[in-house]
Amino acid sequence: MARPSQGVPAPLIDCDVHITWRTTAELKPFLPRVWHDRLGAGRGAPRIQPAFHMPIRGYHKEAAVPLAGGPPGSDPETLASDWLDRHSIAYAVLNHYDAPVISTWGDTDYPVALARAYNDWLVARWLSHDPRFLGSMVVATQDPHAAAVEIDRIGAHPQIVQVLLSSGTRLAYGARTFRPIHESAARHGLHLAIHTGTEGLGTSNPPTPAGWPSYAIEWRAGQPLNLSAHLVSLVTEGTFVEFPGLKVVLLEGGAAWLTQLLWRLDKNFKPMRSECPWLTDLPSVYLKRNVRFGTHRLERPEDPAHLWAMLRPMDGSSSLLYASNYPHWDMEEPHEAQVLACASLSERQRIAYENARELYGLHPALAV
Amino acid sequence: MVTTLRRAERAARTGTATPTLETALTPAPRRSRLGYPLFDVDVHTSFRRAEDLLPHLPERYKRRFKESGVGDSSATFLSGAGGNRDDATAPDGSPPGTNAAFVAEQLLDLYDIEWAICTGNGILGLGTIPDADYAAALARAHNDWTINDWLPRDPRLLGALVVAQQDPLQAAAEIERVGAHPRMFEVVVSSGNVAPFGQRRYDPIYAACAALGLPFAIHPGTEGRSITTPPTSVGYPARRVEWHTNLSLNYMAHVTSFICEGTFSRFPDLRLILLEGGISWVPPLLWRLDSDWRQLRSELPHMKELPSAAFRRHVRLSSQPIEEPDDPADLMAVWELLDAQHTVLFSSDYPHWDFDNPYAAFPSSMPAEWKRRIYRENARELFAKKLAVLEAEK
Repeated sequence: MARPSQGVPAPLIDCDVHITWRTTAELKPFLPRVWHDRLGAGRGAPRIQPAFHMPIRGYHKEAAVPLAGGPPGSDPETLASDWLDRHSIAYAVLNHYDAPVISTWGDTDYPVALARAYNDWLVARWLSHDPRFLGSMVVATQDPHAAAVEIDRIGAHPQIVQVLLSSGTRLAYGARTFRPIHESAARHGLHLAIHTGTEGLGTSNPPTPAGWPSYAIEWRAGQPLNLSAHLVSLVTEGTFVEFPGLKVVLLEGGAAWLTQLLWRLDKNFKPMRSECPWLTDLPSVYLKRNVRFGTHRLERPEDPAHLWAMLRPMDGSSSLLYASNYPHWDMEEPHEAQVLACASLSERQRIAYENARELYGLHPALAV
Repeated sequence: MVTTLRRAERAARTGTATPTLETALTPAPRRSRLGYPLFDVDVHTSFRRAEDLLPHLPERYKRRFKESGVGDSSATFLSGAGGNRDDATAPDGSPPGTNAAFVAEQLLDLYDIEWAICTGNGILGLGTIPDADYAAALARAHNDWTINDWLPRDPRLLGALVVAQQDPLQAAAEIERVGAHPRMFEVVVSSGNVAPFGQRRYDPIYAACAALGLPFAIHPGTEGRSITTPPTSVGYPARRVEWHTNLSLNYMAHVTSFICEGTFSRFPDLRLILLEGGISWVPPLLWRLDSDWRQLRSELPHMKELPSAAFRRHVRLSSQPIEEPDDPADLMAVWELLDAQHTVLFSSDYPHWDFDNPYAAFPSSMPAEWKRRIYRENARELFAKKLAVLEAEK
């Protein structure tokens, strides 16, 4: 089926822009003195260091390096001019790629302190700088009660829209142990975002259900599996029954796999529904209603029409959110996103703007 | 036919019959409603009592087997849905899948199944036993039981050779020991494992499989048991609906491993059968692997071809449990993407609770030629060499 190819309509909302610090010293003003030595020590700074070798990594060659120094994505003004202004981006959700890794660390108190420091830094350095910036706060999931307290402390900030969680975990996010996080996020109208990259790190489980693979390509192929298991847990545990407004945003783990999961989980639910009597709808109803997917690293078949054959049964035009992954090496400008290029105009408007606007309850953007 | 069967059962009960129940089957089976006989690649049959396996076990393991059986069969995630069809217990009280005459009546005759591969029932838990030697002894015993005590009961039954993956060298030796038997058609292991199956440590198994022309099959059910890894990369599920849904994730990881380790390049004759692991997940996984391979292939010189091409040539999927969307056209659209016409093999999963009736397994909109390939021809091509020998002797 031929789909019209037209330009991507402005304005856009970019749901995955990666920010960072010039150096971790930026966090110090927000971190109790007792932790300062640790922050500067070898493994004290949050950093995703997978066991696998990636031949390509780092930043995209066209992402602007701030004049004042530091890596791309470390300066608010440069980010705004190089990315938001250039692409008529009305809002950009700022995610720190490495920060969620603190939840995979073995101890508890330092990650809790670091999450607080990160969130204060996010507000002070980024969110106060530009009203187009939306923030993903982080928590240390080792202590769900402390995480809930942190959400209560900072989650009411008008530009904070979600809690960014690490994909690599010891337990699936539907587990009752995380209920304080769900409850607190839902109370503040925040969503949960899960970003891939931390599978197998620290105290989390092996990065695939079959154990440790050998290569980065397998590790990356395992990331959707990880997100899928989180979703099955969230649905069957009744998280979306208890918190119907809570949404889960899955970043950099594809989406086309959801279709077969809807079919498989519904089929399994029918004979086994006595295990989760709290579900008042089929699992697929919750999955379609409460889950959103970033477009970056969406599956990419050679024939784009094939992509929509998988996306249509999962209501892809309602559940996908444009996400660039700026400024990382494999970022996608709006016109590079295959799913947008092969969508109809109305589908493109939903994916590039309207779905995110609804999700985060944003004011309609003025003409840019 | 019923009378003959009853006579055979009565004889079995009174102890006057030895395993010559095939005489009960001499009446012509029913003709398939499809117009051709079927090939079923996943039928769960087993020994009836632990005592049946004992003669095939070395002395030193007999007591252990009586006490602990096939390892940790605690089945953490079994729920009220149970394991077997309620009606699959034979009239003589034999547990499901243990009375060949009743398997014939309830499955082979009823649906005109010409060939059925017996993948065991409960035995694959041996792949999760910490003690590799005991596991290997159980595998040998089960294979000897299959060859000597089970296959003679019905000429339509074919054997799956069980191995314990804990010690790949012993597993390879076992394949060499019994793999040439004309009715042992494949090697089967549990999908719950300590590592992805494509890794080099398992190469001796694949070398033996390839040398004997035996496909390597993986069957689910042991995920998370005993020494295996947690059944998902986010740990242990809370209940069976979650565990069972997630089984296909394990398959995705294993098949990714076979492709990315270059196992199929090292063993071009190796074929992999993914039993009962779902099907419609294939297209998105292959799209991801293909596009990632193009970007990362400098690290993967041992991968000689596009992941999707390796998959297409080397991997087959069994049909049950089939995904069930509201609109069957959606399923057919996805199956077209994975070339189901050539990659899917019919399986009933008899006598398990979620058995697929061959006459109702696929959407009625599935083209007749697809059905013929899936119900029959794909399996016949996969097992062509051994089948030719068997059919020549018929």
